[in-house]
Amino acid sequence: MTWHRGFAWTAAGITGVVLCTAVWLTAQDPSPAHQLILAAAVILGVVPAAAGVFVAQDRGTGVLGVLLVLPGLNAALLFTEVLAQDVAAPPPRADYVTAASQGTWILLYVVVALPLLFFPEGRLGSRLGRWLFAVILLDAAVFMLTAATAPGPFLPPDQSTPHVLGTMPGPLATALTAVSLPLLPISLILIVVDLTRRYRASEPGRRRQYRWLTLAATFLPVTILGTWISYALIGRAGAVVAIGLGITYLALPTLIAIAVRRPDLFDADRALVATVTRSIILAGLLTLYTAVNAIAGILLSARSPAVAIAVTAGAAILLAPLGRRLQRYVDSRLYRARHAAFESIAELHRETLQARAGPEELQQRLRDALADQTLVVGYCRPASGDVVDARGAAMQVPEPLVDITIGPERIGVLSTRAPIAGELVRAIAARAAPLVELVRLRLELRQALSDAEDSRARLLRVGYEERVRLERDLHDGAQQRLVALGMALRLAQRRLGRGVDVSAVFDEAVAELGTAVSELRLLAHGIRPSCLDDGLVPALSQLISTAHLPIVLHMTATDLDEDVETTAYYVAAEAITNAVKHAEAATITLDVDVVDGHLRVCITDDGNGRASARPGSGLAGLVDRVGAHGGQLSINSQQGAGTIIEALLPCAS
Amino acid sequence: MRIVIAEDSTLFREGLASLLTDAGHTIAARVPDATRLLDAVRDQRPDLAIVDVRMPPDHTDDGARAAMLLRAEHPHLGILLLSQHIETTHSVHLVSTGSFGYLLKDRVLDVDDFLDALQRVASGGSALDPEVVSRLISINSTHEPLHTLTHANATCSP
Repeated sequence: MTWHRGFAWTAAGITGVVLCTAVWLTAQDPSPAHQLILAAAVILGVVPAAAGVFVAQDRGTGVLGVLLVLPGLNAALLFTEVLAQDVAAPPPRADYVTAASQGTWILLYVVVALPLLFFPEGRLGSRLGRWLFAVILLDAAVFMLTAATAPGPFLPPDQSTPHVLGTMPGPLATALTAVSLPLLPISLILIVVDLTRRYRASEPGRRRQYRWLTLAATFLPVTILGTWISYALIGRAGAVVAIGLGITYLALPTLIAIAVRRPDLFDADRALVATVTRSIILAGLLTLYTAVNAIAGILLSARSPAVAIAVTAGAAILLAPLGRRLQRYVDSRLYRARHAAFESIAELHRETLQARAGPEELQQRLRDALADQTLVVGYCRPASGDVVDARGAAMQVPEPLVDITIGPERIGVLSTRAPIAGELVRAIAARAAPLVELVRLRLELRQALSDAEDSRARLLRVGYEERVRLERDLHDGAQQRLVALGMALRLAQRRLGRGVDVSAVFDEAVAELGTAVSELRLLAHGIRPSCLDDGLVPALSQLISTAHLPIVLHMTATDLDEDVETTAYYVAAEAITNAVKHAEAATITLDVDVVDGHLRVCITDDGNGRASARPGSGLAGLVDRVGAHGGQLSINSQQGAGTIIEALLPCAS
Repeated sequence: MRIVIAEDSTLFREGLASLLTDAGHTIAARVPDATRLLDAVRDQRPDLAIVDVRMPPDHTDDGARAAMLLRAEHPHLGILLLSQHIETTHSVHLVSTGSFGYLLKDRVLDVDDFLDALQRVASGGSALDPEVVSRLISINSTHEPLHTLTHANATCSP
């Protein structure tokens, strides 16, 4: 398909050569009028050529690129010929050229119509399009033929040129003109119909491209409006028409190029709304001006531009504040999606502040406003950045998605598969940011609360289980032994009465008593290690001495509260037990120091890692124990790379 | 009297056995859990079963549940439950069947009273720990149907 690109470049090159000729001609006689013509030629020639070449770089655009260059080439040729006539006094044109060019103005419309038919893929996309293509070309040919051979003199300034191409019968010429001339606007209208039909049948991505054409189309009414202004102010409109058509000539290739290559450049709909709003304000002022002029003409029997200008200026000042409202109105009529989305966000914001709704409804409100059930709002958790829904459940947000940010931080994502312009999605994302932030904070708060509740419930359960264990240990252990001891004594008593030797029974009883005492001591240690009576250092030293592997203790913390010491002791004991029992560590280092008002207890081992706070495990119990103390426990354990367990406990010293 | 002892604590079981042997009773079987208790009673047909409430396999109220089964199988077997603390879920029903006793374990230390209680239970009577009695009464009073009547029910007269 590279020949399409080649054609586009060739056409652009020819345009360049023509423009160089124009520059050379202007250099021969650089009068202001000539410079103006040159400027018009360059602008009208270069912009479409650039747009066409730009479009042709895309492989999927077919002949569209070439078709976009053609209006520019056409304009460049027209202006250069004017310059040539004026500057170089070229030899008079051959008569047959003059005759053949009688109806060529129709090509001005044809070159505009063709890109519309071939938009956006560079081929005729519908049956109606194919018909229109044939009809327009045929119509232009018939019209030009009729113009070249109709009886009667040619139009000025060629009225004296002879009909060198022959003359067709008068009635035939009249009939052909009567058919071919109206066929032109009819074809243009049918092109619009065809575009509308193709727009409706197209998929979302293509629809965005078609919208840009709507924007291009608005330049025509703007031109008409401009003509009206011109007539009202200076009684002539030639220049305005030229400028308006010029803008249309520039706008069409430019906007088609944007539509094809960068449909998301900015929001076509928004530009459309702004253009329409300003046009309406302008039209209103102009109507006022005309009316005032007319009324003044009747009342004062003289036209009074001064009065009319004063009234209009006054009205313009009064209208200024209305502009914003008008824009919103036009917004709501022409661009319902943007208006509805923004309104729904603003309304939800108000209701949230009045506590009548929760910001979590954002997704549903936007879905309703845009009638788009594929829209998804995701929230980023502050700590992890994980994307969750409004209830805090993890979710996969489907592409394409737009980030919702506050400053550099990504706080959420917005995703939709509906045909909404990327720019609008970004605008909605920006508007929704405060609500998203609110949801995010609420999620975080809820999570923290639920964590605290879970932790409290676990602590209660652990406490309850501890009490059950204690009760069982007491019943089955010490109490049982004491009853047995009593029984032994009773047995001895009875045997003594019968004169039997009871020393064996007493030995057994004393042994029983010794066991009961040591069991009670163990039990008491489980409730609170009594070794802590002398402080954390002796307790930890004792703990280390009972372990069966070398443990290095670095301890710099002193003067700690008893509850902090107890928690620190349990952290050390559990972590060491874990390292010895499960991780098969060879050496363990235990650091205890005070950092920034926190007691840091850090246990490092060189075992096989894989430690984690699984629910119900000893480490999970530690997390709760440390959490209940307002501290934090972190476990860093990778397979084969040892484990670092670090607890930070707030302490006064 | 032929007695089966079901008690998981070896210490207590053996102590109790020597005490009872010393008092002239025959220990037909000593078992450490509820399952083997049922088998032992079937095999030995004793006059009395002394059963610890908390035993394997569940370490909850296995003994009391086994006592219910024993009662269903052997209507005239004397059953004495022993416990470190009072549990009443199953005892309410058993009390009403007779040949049933429920004592705290430390009552064993009043050897004579304990031996009397054994005798009573084996011959169809009952032996309830004072604490068990007070607990049963308080349970019954809270389950008194009249207490659940509303004020309107109570004042209404035909």
